[in-house]
Amino acid sequence: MRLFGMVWSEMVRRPGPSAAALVVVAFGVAALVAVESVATSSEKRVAGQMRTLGANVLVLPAETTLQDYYAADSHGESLPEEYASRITMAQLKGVEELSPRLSVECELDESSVVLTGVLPRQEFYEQSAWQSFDLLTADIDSFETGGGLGRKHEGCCGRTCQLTTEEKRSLASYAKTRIVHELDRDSVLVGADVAEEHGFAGGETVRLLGADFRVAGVLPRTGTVDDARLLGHLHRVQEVSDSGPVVNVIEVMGCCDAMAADLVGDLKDLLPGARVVTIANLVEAQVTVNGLMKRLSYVLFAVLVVLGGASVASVMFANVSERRRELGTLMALGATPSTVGRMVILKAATLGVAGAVLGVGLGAVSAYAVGLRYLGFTVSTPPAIVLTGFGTALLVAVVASYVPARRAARLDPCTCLQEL
Amino acid sequence: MISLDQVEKRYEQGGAVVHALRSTTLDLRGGDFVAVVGPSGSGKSTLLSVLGAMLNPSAGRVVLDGTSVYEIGVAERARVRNERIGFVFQNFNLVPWMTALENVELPLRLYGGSRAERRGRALELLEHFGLADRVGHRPSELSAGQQQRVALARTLVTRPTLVLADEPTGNLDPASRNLVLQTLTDFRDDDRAIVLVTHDPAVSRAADRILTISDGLLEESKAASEIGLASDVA
Ligand SMILES: Nc1ncnc2c1ncn2[C@@H]1O[C@H](COP(=O)(O)OP(=O)(O)OP(=O)(O)O)[C@@H](O)[C@H]1O
Ligand SMILES: [Mg+2]
Repeated sequence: MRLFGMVWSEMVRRPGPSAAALVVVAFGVAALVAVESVATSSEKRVAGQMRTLGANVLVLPAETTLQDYYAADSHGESLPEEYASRITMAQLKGVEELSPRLSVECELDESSVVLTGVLPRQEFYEQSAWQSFDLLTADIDSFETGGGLGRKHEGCCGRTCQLTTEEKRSLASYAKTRIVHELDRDSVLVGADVAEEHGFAGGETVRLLGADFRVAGVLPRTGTVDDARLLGHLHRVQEVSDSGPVVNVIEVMGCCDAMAADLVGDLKDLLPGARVVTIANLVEAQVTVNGLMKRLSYVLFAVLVVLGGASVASVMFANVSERRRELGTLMALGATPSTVGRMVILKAATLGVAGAVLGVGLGAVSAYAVGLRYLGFTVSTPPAIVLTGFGTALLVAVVASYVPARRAARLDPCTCLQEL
Repeated sequence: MISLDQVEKRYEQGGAVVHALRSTTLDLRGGDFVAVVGPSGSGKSTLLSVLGAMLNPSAGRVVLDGTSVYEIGVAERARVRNERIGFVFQNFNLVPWMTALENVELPLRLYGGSRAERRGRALELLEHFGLADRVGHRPSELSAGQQQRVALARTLVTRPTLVLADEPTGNLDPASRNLVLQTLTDFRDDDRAIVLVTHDPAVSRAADRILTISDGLLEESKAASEIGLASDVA
């Protein structure tokens, strides 16, 4: 503290020599913080988009094009339902949940709605278990309690595997998982918009495609096309629509976005007749930009380290040689060499921290402004980035001042006896 | 108080050996006021540096108040300088960005101590030197004479037992010079020895013992007045 007081007043009263280094460090930190903030926020946005969709890989009929990924399953083309079992049995790494879906148009009270057939999770597991010895010997409860579908499930960071069985059973979690746990063949679940429009609360009977269904419940609002749909049992929907054992899409919830990439290749190999698309493809442009931003931020990091370090080092060298007499006098008056060396390092560290304060502020504000003006979303600066900025600036400053500090510590106090 | 026992300082430069200080034995006691005179390059500053625990001699022992100052660690030696030795420099060596008051406080600040006490001592000395209205000034805002008085206050603030002054009047006008000499005389006491290096015979007359040094060889001079007379004649 005693030393810091001296270092601080020297800097404040003689700001000239330090200003240049301060500016370099501040700009370095600002650039780093701004780019990292934009990259992180835009990444979060992509992740948010994926979450809305619920799945991160879609298996589609080969003929489809992917126009609107929110309605990717209502295109009239189909693929065999058996593909879903194949995926299950292949035990692909990173598959957390599967949802085969068949959507058909139908009339409800003279308006047109989409009835989507899904396979209840409960039944799906039972079916898989019958077909696969592997799955049969595995403890079925492990699926229930969070193991998920794929057994090679290491590093799972998905959403559904973190839910308890109770949560999975509850309709309320549908918005999170898009998984229907239980649904019997004569029941439908209605989306939030449909329920509102037709006044469903559960318990009513609806007639769809010439068959009667009981409304088993209302789905929570998901913000997706499901809100305007009715969900029925896949096999019943196949029957009433005369579709045969087909589906329009198999939604695959991969463990992690990172795993989705590998998964696509595996799925393509497994199902040569299908088209496999990741959500990442859909937001590819954005992902590419993110990649560029990340690389740019590494470059800026290197620039900060090199330029910031060089400028701190040169300022400190100049400072030490300029203050030779002053530091020598301090030694003559009783300062130890290590005290003088510490003063130099402390000064550099103060420069680093002051530069980081300015830089973090500048970087966060400019990232926010850029987001608002050009990107159309709010860019925030997470604490981790602030810490990185501070840590880097401080470390660079201290390392860069090491040699000047040693030089200062080796000054000969006798120099202050020499004439100017 | 301080003794040099066969102290030597050699510098080796490009094969040539410079004997900055030849075997020197010297004893100083409290109350001594010694002037050292000699031509340029004769080793005066070297002698002061060795006395001042700043320059390790090539041979011999330097004992200050029972401590052999070059046989202790660097940090301890620094502390000895801080607490027992006061330097007065020809060009004052005030810290340019500190005020007069802060400069005077500086030696006390290096080893902590209460702020109130060091402030009090510094102010007292500055007042003594007639600088009460200059405490907030930077050295660049003070005249040479005022700067040297600030430096004297800084030297005395730690109440050193040994005061070493290297040409303290070299950059001063006669009035300031006399004031500095008067101060050194005033502040000598039974527990304090003063060593004053000078070219100026008028200055050396203030001392009561004069040593001459030439080519690194230190010799007790005759009476102070004789040196003075000799110089005046020359
Ligand atoms: N660091 C050093 N390296 C080499 N030689 C030195 C060094 N310091 C002093 N000397 C030499 O030692 C001798 C004595 O130097 P010193 O500074 O003690 O002389 P001085 O009597 O103080 O001279 P002046 O009156 O000019 O200040 C000189 O010859 C000088 O060149
Ligand atoms: Mg000299």
